[in-house]
Amino acid sequence: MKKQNFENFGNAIFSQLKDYEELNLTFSMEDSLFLRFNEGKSRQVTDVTQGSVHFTYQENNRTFKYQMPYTADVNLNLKRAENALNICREKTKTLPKDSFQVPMENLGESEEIFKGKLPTLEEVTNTLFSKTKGLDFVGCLAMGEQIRANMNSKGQQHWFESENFQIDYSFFTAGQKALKGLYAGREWNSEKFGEQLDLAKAEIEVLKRPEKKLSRGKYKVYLAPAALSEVVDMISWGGVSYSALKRGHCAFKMIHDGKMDFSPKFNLMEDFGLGLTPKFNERGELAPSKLTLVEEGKLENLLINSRTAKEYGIDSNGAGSHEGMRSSRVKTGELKKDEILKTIGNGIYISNLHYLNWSDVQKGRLTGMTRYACFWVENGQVVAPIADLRFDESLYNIFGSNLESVTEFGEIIPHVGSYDQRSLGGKEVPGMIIKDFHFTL
Amino acid sequence: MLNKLLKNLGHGADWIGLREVEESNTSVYIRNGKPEANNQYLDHGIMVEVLVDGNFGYAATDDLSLAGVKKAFEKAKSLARQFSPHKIYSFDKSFRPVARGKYNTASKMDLDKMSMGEINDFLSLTCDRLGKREEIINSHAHVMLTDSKTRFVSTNGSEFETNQHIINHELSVTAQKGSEIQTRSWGNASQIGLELLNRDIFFAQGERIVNEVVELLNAKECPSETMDILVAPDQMILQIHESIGHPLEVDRILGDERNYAGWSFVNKEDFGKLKYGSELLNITFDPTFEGELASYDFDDTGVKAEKTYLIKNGLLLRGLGGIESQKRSGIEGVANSRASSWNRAPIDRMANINLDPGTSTLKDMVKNIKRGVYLFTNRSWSIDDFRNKFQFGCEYGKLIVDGEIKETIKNPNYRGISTPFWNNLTMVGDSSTLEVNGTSYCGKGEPNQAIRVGHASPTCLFKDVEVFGGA
Ligand SMILES: [Zn+2]
Repeated sequence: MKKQNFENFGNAIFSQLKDYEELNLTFSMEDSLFLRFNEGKSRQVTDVTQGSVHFTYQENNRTFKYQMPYTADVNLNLKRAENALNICREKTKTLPKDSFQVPMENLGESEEIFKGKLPTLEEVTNTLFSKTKGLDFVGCLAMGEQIRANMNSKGQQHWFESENFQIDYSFFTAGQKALKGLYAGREWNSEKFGEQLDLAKAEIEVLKRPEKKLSRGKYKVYLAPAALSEVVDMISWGGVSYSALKRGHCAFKMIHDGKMDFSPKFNLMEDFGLGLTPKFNERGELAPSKLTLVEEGKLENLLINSRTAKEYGIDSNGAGSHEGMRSSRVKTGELKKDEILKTIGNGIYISNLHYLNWSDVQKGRLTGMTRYACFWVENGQVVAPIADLRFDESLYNIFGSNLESVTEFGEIIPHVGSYDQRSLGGKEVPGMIIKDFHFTL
Repeated sequence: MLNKLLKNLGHGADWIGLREVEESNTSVYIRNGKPEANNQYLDHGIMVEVLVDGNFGYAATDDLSLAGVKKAFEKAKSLARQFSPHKIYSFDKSFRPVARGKYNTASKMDLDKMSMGEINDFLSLTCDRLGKREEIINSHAHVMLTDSKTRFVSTNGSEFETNQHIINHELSVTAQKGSEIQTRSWGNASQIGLELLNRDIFFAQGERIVNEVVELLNAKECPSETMDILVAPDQMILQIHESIGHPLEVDRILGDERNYAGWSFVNKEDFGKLKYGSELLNITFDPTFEGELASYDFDDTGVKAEKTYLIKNGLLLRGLGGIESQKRSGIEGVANSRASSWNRAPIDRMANINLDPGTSTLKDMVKNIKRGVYLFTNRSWSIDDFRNKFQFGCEYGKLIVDGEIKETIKNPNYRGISTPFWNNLTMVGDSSTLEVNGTSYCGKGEPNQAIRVGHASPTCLFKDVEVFGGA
């Protein structure tokens, strides 16, 4: 029904175009429930039904983009779209020529539908509130349907639909220490979630030990997958973007220029096999199923969208407008789970990092904080939770000569962001042992 | 229209509020003298808010028909009822006071008085001047015009409107010499009309950042040592925002944000007692500051917004908590319960959080520095989840030695811990050094919400700060 409405909507607008006009439509829709909880109680509950359609209008080498709400009301949508088309035509008349406009093409069709088994409100209540009774449990449940779709006036058409849930949570101790967790997927299973909570309740015990204050300096660390995920997010912010490289904001510039190397143990790729996000971008261009970015420490590819490709006279690889990673994977290594503590020896087990930013983007240097369950490890044994530390360290150390080992397992970490709308995508990352990790405050 | 919808919704709630938000964002982005983007984005929807069994329930819809809003109303009621047995606090109608009135940005020139083509011409001319030097590898000029209308009605008689005209603007240049790459920018966000697009000002600022970025290419690295810092308002914005604004948010203190934005080092008991900063530190919540980005008459729960001191002579007095957080925590607060748009529920936000000017001239402050750096324009920001350990980086610095401004330095960074840092505030610039800055992208909340905040600040001097340079 929704797909049919979307096709009808597109075709009705496309039929009004003149020969010299091109139009790309990108749809985004969600029907989401958000339940915030704090201290094991409900804080705020919000249901959101929203949709939007984004127009890219091109004529005579001029480009204009427009966005309007796309609602359940078919007639209102069409009325608004006619108005939108008029606005596109009027505004475009006054614009200068767009030198880097990419002509639209029919790049095929695709359809991916991931139906889920979402919990009822009773099931959520029964597990979430009963299992966490008396505990300081805080976080947010987000669930529902998400749709991304694309059509253009050349006949291209893509549809992606996913029903899913995410419970992003943390448990706090009286001493303000916390354990972070995520239960996410398409098929809700109350028992499985219950088991995960029980495990967390057991793991939180060690956080109740007196905190260890470490002085600044260099320590051997284990970055658990959730911590490493934060570093990968930073790379995604200009690090693997071709346009960022050309415009002077690329953290991978030194490796690109051959002045630095990463360790052969570091391998990074885009891998849409994770199924977390559509392969098509805002223009309906398809990314390859797999694209190697770093292979055995050597930079193989940067992400290039079609507009960048046009500007610099190179080939696009189907990147999105921001040339960031949408479905990244860091390759696993050989370190077994039960060898992690022994391998740390004396050092810090870091579960999560927080609020990363560049301290010198040109040199690939970044800063950030430890957060949640981070432990001091001595002789391969967990001793105590640590007082949070600030690090300041270069990517060329983290993924370079200081990278000692990579775990044999990876974890899938979906994006849980929801600015404007719930995001899609995510990544698969392992854990890493890194020596001489520099803490500065 | 909103009142008619409200009348026809039906029954089953102790209180109903409808908040309609209609927003248009027009964006022109010129890069290297050529159009990069010309966009107009419209957003329009309604948040239905109900009180049932002592619990607020929210349902947002972009379907503005009676049927669509009714559907949302039913959802909101059922959610409020469903989770009422597990609610964190029992609310009643007093949490949504009656508000009546109309707020309009005091702008001189309406946002539709220039065509998109004219804005392109204006920015192209500006951008042409940015790219003149051969060292410049990239330059851009960008403006985003926002026309935002919020209408609120409720069953207890509230009826208010907030109409804001907002402009975000930025000029930026990146220059390269060998392997050295530096960026310099100028930008702001404020409530203003198209009178902002003044050619003389844009050209002059453009010329300044071009000169400064070329200086940076040849500049020395910022030294690594503990010394004084003189902080310009376009870095003070982040310093105030991250290490005063966020830690004073009462929902953070109550723990609502611990799973995302974080907690706070400030405790409930600290109000009226904690010496947050030196005697010179005076911080207000001021939604009445004309032209500043987050000015308004009522917050999204209908509480009247007024200028209030949060910190006076260094002493912490009051938190950034809306009506719900005030009752939950017992901490005195302000009218800051705000939602980013129609599709989100209101939570505690900063609005305009301003630092009062002092009595020192810029010259006096420089004269008082034996060894220090003068810091301009934030480029990097990071702080821990309790808001203690921060690190900031700036685009441009000047070394100060023996009371005189010396050479330009590149990659200046500094780090510190919030309250010791504010207690080292030793001189505060007079009103001639005051600038009003704003940003549209303060993020927090689950689901996530990006909101507009303003920070007016003079230039300030801090003693004994750990300063360092690039790699
Ligand atoms: Zn913020």
